[in-house]
Amino acid sequence: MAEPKGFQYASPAHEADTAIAGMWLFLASEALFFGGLFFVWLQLRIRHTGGVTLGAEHANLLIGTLNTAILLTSSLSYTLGVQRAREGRGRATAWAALVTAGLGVAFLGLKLLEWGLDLRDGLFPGVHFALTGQNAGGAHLFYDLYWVATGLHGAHMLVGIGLVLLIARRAWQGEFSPAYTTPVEVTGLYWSFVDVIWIILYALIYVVGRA
Amino acid sequence: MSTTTAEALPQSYLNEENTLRSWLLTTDHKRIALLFFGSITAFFFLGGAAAALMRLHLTEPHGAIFSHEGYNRAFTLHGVVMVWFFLVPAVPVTLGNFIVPLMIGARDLAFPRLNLLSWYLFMTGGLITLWALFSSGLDTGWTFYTPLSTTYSTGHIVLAVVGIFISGFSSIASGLNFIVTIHRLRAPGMTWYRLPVFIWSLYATSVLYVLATPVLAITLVLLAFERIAGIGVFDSAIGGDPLLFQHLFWFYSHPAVYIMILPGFGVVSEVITAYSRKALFGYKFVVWASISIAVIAFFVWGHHMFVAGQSVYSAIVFSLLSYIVAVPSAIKVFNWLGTMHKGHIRFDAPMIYALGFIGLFTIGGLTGLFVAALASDVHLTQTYFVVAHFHYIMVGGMVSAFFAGLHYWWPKITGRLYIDMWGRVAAAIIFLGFNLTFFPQFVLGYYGMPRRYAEYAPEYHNWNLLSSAGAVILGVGYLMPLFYLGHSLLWGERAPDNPWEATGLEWTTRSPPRTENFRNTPTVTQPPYNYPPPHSPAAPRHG
Amino acid sequence: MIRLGATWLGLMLLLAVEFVAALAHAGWIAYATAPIMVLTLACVFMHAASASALSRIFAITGIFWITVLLGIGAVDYSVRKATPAEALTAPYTAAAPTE
Repeated sequence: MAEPKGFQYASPAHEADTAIAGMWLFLASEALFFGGLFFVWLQLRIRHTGGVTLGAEHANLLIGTLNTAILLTSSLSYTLGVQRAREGRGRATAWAALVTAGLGVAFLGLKLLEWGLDLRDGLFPGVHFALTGQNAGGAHLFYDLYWVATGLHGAHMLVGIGLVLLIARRAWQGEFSPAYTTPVEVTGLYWSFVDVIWIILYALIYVVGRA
Repeated sequence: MSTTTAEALPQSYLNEENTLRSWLLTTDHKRIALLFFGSITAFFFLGGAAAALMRLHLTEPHGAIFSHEGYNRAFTLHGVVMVWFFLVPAVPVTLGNFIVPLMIGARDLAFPRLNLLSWYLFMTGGLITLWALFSSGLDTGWTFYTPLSTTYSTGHIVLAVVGIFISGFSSIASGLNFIVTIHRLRAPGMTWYRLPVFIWSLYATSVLYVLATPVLAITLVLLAFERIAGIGVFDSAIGGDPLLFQHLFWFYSHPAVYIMILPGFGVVSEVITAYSRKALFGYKFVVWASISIAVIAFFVWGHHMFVAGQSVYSAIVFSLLSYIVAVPSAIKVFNWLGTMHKGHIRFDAPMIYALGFIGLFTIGGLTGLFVAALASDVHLTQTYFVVAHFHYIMVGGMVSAFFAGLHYWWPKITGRLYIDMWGRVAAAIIFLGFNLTFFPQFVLGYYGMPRRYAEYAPEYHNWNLLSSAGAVILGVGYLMPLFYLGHSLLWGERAPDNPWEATGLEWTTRSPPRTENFRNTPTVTQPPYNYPPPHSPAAPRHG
Repeated sequence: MIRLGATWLGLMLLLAVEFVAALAHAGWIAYATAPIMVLTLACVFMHAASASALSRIFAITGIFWITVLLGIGAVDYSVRKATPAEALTAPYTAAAPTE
């Protein structure tokens, strides 16, 4: 009982606009999802300023910054891909998507490395938490947030990489044209949004604490 | 009224193809609405059964049937099921799914496959949660406050939380679908101010779905991690804050109660106008009252935490905002009364339910003012006064509205008429039973009986007996529709396209509608509720 | 293409500023640079400025509601004295109940 695509839209542009608007609305809900974590960070910063500072000082600024650079570049590469899709150049779009996915994988690889280093340094907020001193409690809570937030972000990255790879395949097979780029655009919105979340997390975890 | 074998229904969405596969893989909003109807009904009676057991238990001061632990599990099951698996989805996913595209002149919702996914998410979440509730029992109440939920409770909390998390995505999906549909798929000529209030109400509800539910999601994630790994974010022993849980939880759960009631406002607006045969009094006021309720709903969550330990300045802000949010609701009540004034009123079953809604919701809303005031809340909080307050709104209000809508649109959905007299009798029994059940609880709360207690002091005995007696009557009232509506499905008279002679695009379709809803996309040129003025020649004669 | 490249360069520069500020213990600068980066990404890479009005409304709505959550929530935390655990040294060692 599959309906033909666009059976109730005034035009393909109407349908494309609708899909894009739908994705923005979904991203608004995702913003509130991560927003809850930002709220947790905010109350932490107010109540345990010393703990946040202590925790941030032990966060791996180098890897964090590298990762941010990688993600920003991936947003660039994907947006270039969107442009190619609008020009009808399917192969170029596919390459752009592959580069994007590759950068995403690089991000996750570095993240895993960073997590490994964190574990080695005893920064997991369990029984053997390594930080001591007056602000250890606050730092413990800071790392709670760190692991939950970066873990959730990583999960979103995984989904994003999967979606981008799907776009790469469909673009290679010539599914898109100047008249039909909706999935490419919608996926791009999701990918850049995950990037936006990372920019905020980067600031909250690695930078603001070091004041 | 014929009781002989009913005529077969014409070609419609119901009989177009009737394999199991065609139902379980449908993308037709009308069939999905029916799938949801089945689920919602089942959850309603499950939650109701828990309530019946609770009222039975409370007939004795020392508790008649449960241990303390058992009672805690009963009210937790009642709350979890009724909140997340009945009230939050109820009208939008059933009546909303069915009626919204018809009402705006569309062929379906904007994202039909997302709609089907929404049902599967709901069922998955529901089954997982039920498994948690029945396999171990939860004793935390539906509010999952820390540290009971994170540290001391022995139930399958993480499992329950996973189930609720999944069903939350069902809400977000439905809300997203409605918002985009209402923006994008209105028929030509259906401007925003020609939309029936039901659509505006669902729009407002959907905004709440999309923006509030994610905060619940992250709260449940943190709760799960706290429980599994002891991260400590809610644990004051290591510097966390139990109140943080409550802030995050109520940031969702207060808008959630508006999710529950806003669709009811929409239904009542439709029913009151149809059965008064009169345009809605102050249409724009009602519309903007709905929108402002959705907005202000986000600003009042702290009123659930007045005595929990938040700063008193915070509490003052929340108290003031809670008074403000009552204003738009009150405006609507006046608008409904203004609609009925000098209207040509018919007291059919949907109207009786709607009138019951207005009366009971008003009482519930007024008692909300007592608990919104800081000083009186110190006395009333965590007593049966609060329980009575929200049941007047949720049950007296929302469930009555749901029934009103169900009866009003029943002929459209099923193509059958039910026997109206039974509907009126059921509505009256529900109204009577409801008041007998819950009014004594205001008294109990005033006298200080705490809520969620498995035992109570002997001086509360008589009021509890009254309440439990009322519950029996209420139960009978709720069971009755199963019978007469079921009867109508099998033997009911064929319904005409517009049995109530109401305005609205949905009534221009067949009863039940074709799969594609409209043969030709309609064009709208009239304002909503375009009934002839009461004393004009076109108005129906009384009698 | 050039526009995108220039935007990317600008973002990288802001990132470098944040990096240096973090090293120099002036991390508060991120309160300024991060919003700029987010807005830039949204407007350029996500075409927020050229999207339909509806999309823009949705985007702004998301931002507004986060602000509400953080803003009103902060009222409580900025005024309430913290629960008595400021000077905690070691995290607790109580095991979580078996799930």
